[in-house]
Amino acid sequence: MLELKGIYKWVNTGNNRVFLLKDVDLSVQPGEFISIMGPSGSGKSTLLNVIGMLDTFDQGEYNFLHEPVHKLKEKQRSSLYKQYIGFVFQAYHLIDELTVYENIETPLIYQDIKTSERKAMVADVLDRFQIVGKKDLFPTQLSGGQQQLVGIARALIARPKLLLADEPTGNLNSKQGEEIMGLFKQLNDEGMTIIQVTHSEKNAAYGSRIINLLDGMVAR
Amino acid sequence: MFKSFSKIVLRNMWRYKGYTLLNVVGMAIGIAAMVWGYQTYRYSFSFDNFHKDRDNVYRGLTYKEGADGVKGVFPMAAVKQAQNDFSGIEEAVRYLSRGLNVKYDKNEPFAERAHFTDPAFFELFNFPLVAGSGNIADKNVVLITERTAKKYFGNEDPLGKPLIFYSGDSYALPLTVTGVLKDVPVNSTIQFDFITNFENFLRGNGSRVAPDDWTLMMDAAFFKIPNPADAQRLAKEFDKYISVQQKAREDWKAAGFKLISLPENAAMTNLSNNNLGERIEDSATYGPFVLALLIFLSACLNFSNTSVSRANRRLKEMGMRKVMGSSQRQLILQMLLECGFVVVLAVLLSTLLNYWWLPAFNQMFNGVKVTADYFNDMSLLLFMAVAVVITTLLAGAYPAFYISRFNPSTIFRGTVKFGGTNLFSRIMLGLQVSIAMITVVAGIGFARNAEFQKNYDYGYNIENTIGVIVFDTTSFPAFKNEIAAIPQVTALAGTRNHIGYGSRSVVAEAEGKKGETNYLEIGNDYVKTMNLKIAEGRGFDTQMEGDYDHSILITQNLAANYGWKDKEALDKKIFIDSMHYSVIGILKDFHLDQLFDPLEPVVLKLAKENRYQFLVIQSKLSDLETVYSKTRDAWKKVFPMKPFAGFYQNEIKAEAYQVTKSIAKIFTWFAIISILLTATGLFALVSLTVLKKTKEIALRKVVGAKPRDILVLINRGYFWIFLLASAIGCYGGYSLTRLLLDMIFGVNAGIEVSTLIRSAIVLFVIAGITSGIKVWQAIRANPAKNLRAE
Ligand SMILES: Nc1ncnc2c1ncn2[C@@H]1O[C@H](COP(=O)(O)OP(=O)(O)OP(=O)(O)O)[C@@H](O)[C@H]1O
Ligand SMILES: [Mg+2]
Repeated sequence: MLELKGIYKWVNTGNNRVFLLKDVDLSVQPGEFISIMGPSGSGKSTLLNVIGMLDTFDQGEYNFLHEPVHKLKEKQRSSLYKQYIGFVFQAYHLIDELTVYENIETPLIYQDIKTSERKAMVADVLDRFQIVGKKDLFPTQLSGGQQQLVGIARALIARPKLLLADEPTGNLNSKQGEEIMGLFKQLNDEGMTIIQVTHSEKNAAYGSRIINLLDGMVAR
Repeated sequence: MFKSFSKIVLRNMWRYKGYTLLNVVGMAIGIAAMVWGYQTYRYSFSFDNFHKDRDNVYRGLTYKEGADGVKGVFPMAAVKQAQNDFSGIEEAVRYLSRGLNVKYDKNEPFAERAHFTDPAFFELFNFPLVAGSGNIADKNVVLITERTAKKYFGNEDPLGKPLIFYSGDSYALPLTVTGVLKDVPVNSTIQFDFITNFENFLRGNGSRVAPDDWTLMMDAAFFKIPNPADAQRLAKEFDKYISVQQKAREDWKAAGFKLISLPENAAMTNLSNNNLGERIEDSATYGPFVLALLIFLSACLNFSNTSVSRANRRLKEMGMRKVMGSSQRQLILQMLLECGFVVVLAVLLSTLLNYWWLPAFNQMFNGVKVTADYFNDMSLLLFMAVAVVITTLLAGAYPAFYISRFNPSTIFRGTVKFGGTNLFSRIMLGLQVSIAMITVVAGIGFARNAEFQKNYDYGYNIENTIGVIVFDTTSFPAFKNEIAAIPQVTALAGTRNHIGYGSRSVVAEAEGKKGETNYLEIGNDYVKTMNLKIAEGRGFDTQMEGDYDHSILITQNLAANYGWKDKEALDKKIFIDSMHYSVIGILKDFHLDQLFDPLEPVVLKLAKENRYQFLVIQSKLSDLETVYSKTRDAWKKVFPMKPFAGFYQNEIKAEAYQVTKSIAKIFTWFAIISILLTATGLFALVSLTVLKKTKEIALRKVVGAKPRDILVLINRGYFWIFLLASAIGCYGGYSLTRLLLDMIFGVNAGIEVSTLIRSAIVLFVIAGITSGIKVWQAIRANPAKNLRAE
């Protein structure tokens, strides 16, 4: 599915070069469910963002579905990303001015999908996550768990091949967290490749593989 | 996509109603001002643009010997002769006016100005007919305008009605109305209410004018020259007339001629001896445009600034959209669309604003009629469309590019160094401050000028004098006796010319130096009645026969022109109109006209009673109204057939005063607007600073910072830019106001340091209050709570 080879990312502060990622190698097969763990500040989010193409890296190779991401132009990268990757955040990051329905619909709009088709797709997802009744509410009118559900629905609406989640249960209570993880498990069973960042051993246990990060390096 | 954008835009606008309202109103004022400026400019250059053949119609002008520049008049005999003498002239039209009384049947007579011209006038110009016939070849007919028809005949059919034009006993001309013309547009240099055949023109004594009379000067002479290339040659060929003209008019010698096309004529301002109208002056043409541009810029800056400072909130949305697959281009588009919405709303509101403002503006100034026909005027619509695009880009581009450029991971990490307090925003705020300063300085400057003009010493008795125009020299003594019998009258004098009511301009030569000066023929008590002050020498003495023929009084200003100090001028010889005069007295300077004109030199000569055309009357201020009404009664008794033409001398002050007052009012309004815009911009920035520094402020307070320290902390970033911008604004306001004052008023108050200081105080107080509110909140806030919130 994807392969990272010798990835470095750094920032320069004054004369010092601070490494955020250091010689990261990682290869992910379709259908895997990977958990990235590590102490705070170890570069988990950074790595996830690099994988998700939300952030750039300074050195190394990144092949995604046999496309060399490090050689692609911004535009090609963005279209690759649009098509294959869904993102879920700890803080949900829904657009407050849009309703649940509209939030979920937005990625489809950016993919130039026709209105009628959009309707069908959104209705599908709403159904699946059992949030049909909430579709006209605004994010602020929902509980955290419900918001995250919407966040996941939105990440999945365009039928990505890879789902990235940065501490998706971080802001939720344990019961809500379990529900979300259950959902991930189910998605994975249906064939979705998932990479999540988590602090919780319990959540990591849902996955098939754990990657430990320490100071920007993969611990072996 | 558009639908989704629109939804967000509308919801955002609604959620932040306050900001939206502020931005829409601010932009609306800016755009309305731009339309006003643009239309005023176009109006100024729209004069005479409605004549079909305007590029082939030329106006003849005359150079006067010894005088600077070209004059608007043209010798009559030359007009028709030129058509015969030279090739290339298809038509030649004389155009002249004179004041006459006009009466219909038994109704009240009116003092009017009638115009005399050749029938071809209507071939050269486009003054459409509403009813009847437009032919004035018949000498018994007169054409009138619609408003004149209304004035004389009300709702009756004017066609076929007789009107009598008369003056004195020697002149009575019965004419029949055979045509009604549309009212002459305000933007026409040719203005008339009555127009008839040139042959009907009679001189003051009732005599006709011979066709080869070289003494008479036309208000205007028009030539139709089909080939514009001929115009220059013809003007040269006209030089042939110089000698015959000079022989006829020793006092007004032509030195050459000039032909200008109608468009050139329409573009001219300040032509001297010009009896046609002129386009509005440069100050009034460009002033509104500059002012409008400033206000418009300020509104744009405000919009831009408030958008950026609010963008913090938008940032998350932008990051989110990027995560959802939006490209930067789409984000920029969305932000511009949002801006466009506001601008379109603002445009709609601006049309309403102008619906009120343009008429109010027109009322403030004479001869200005600026309109905005939003539905039919293609250029205006185009202008508005361009304005929408430019405004959207100007106000929206910076926030759009600024906000959309961050990448999502940066945004979500929450470390975006966010704008509003960056250099760019501060420079924009600085610009706003400068603009506000300019308008405030101008507002206060013009208000002070109004005050100055109100109290200006004209150098003569302007407050307790009334005057009456008495064209009929024969009945003058009878009338004067009636007035002399009014007990409240403290002084009175007849005179040929009168201060503020037109004077001749002559070329005066002394000690080899030639120059133009104003020439008043006055009655013997005039100096006393008008309170003119004799600085040196003596006044006129009717006992000395020589005083009528060889003596003159001059003003100090004229004496200075020849380099004479104090007494030196006495007994000096001055050559005027081919006559030598000797100076018997020097008068303190007085202002001959309105304050639009600078103080000019004056020569006064004694006139005999049979030349008097004015009676000036002095009384105590408290009696003035009584005297005025008694004067009118006396007039009715002596001249039952004639309209009464009396005036208060201080009416002279009125127009200039009204103009400066109106400008002051406009600037004051714009100053208020630009201050409000600046204040909101400042408020937005200070709020953002406080927001960004919430934690720092709280921490500092915990460690014992005083309110003053907090104040400094928050305002540090603005203080210097504010100071610098104020200084620039002061200078800009000073220059602009000085320029405008000098363009409009020959005599004005200038700009004093106190005006600048006052303006600065106004601005600083308002800025202080604005940022003070926010700082006060910050100081009062509970530090513990703010720290917890972080
Ligand atoms: N663009 C950047 N510039 C400077 N420092 C950065 C940048 N991006 C990340 N960092 C720093 O790199 C380190 C790793 O960040 P990252 O967000 O990946 O950690 P994390 O493992 O996700 O931690 P947490 O568990 O707290 O979320 C942190 O110390 C962070 O402050
Ligand atoms: Mg993280």
